[in-house]
Amino acid sequence: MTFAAGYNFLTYASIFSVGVPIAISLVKFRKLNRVLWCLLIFLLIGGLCDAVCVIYRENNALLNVFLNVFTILEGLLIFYIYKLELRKNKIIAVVFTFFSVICVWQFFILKQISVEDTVVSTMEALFVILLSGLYFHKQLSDDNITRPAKFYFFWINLSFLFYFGAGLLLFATNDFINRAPMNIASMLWGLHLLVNIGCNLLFAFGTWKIQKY
Amino acid sequence: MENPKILALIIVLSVLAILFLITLVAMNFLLSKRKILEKENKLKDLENRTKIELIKTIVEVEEKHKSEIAKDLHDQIIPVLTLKALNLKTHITELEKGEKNYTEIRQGVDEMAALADDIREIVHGIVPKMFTSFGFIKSLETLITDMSSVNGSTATFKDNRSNGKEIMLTQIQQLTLYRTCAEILNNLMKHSKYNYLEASLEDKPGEILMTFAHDGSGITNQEIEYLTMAGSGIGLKSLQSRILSLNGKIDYSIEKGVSFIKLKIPTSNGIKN
Repeated sequence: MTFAAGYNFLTYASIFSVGVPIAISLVKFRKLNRVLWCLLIFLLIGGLCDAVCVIYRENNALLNVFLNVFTILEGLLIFYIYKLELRKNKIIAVVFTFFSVICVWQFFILKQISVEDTVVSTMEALFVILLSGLYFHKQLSDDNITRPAKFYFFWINLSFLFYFGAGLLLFATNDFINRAPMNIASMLWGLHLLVNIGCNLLFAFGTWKIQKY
Repeated sequence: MENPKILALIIVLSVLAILFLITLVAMNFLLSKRKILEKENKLKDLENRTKIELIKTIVEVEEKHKSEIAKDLHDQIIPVLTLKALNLKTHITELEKGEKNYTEIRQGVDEMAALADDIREIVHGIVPKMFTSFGFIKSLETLITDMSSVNGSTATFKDNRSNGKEIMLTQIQQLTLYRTCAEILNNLMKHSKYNYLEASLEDKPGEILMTFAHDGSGITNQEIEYLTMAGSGIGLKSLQSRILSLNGKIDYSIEKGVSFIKLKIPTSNGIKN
């Protein structure tokens, strides 16, 4: 099996893996709180974007527009999710403002939205890692959460941390990866897709946990 | 062409290292949370056990008190009452027969009056006469001043309240505070061997502060905690239980050769009766 074939397989696997947490959300939809509804929307948009990327993979400009718009929506949705869980409005407001300024600067002033991006996705990853760390800190000092592993958002937070922790380096070296030979690029983005599949399964597990808490 | 491969390998290894680190962080987090929880549970457990011990002491002290009262009544009052009742019965029988012996009846009445004095003494053992007659401040002042004559030491009392108004505690609370101070003074007399003792009373917004300062052998909070846990006697526990019933706090300290015992009693809501 070549890297390219492996990458194709992982692409489809990643798209279908989004179905797992979505399916569980639909099964548990009566128990879903606001956070999980946002996560469901995030997963639906993510799945849609992945599918669109496969369909329009030959049209770079359109692909970049979809990816960049998805990055913006993804960031905003995730920050909102953390706003609901962390309840630290000031920090979220600062993160949201910085992210918005960076998006506007990168996509509308410095470059265009149809151009490949490294900066916005890297900054997004950094912000999510920060918020994830803050959430772990909050759980540590929260007396109401006695067993974090039984709390649904522990798994969702962990999933975000895995995805953006692994993705940080990949997003930051996006330019290199896209100029690298096909097999290397396939290997690296294949790794990203593997992490994505793992994270979707963690999202599914976290969503399943909502009933027990 | 080798460089991209090497860079790609570095990226892959770095990503795997990051994933591994995140896993370690998550595991460490879960372990830390469990440790924090265990510690909190231990503290809560200790707190509950301490409270139970103190409640047990309160009950013990009460039962002891009741036993003493019962013993006094049984030994002093009941036999005399029984005898008087029998005597009176005899006198009534004689009166009915027409034999008039009023001297013995008068004697019986005098003895009943003496019995009433005995009962009064038992009552004053429960509630000090000085306290009922002169109130908390005066009785405490008298108690401390009386200590001046013991072993050549000097004991003074200072009323440093900002105004001369009554202390904002109920009668029962004042009595409990009086008994607490009496117990502290008793302990000081027995153990500290002071030459000079100064007791002062202050009232601050929402609380009363009673301070005992002396130049004898002092004790710290840690030593008191150790003695309370290790001791089999109920003295210190009884003191603690009284302070707890007033929702107060006691602090033992030694500063620059002077030993302090500071008693803080809140005068606002939440005082337990």
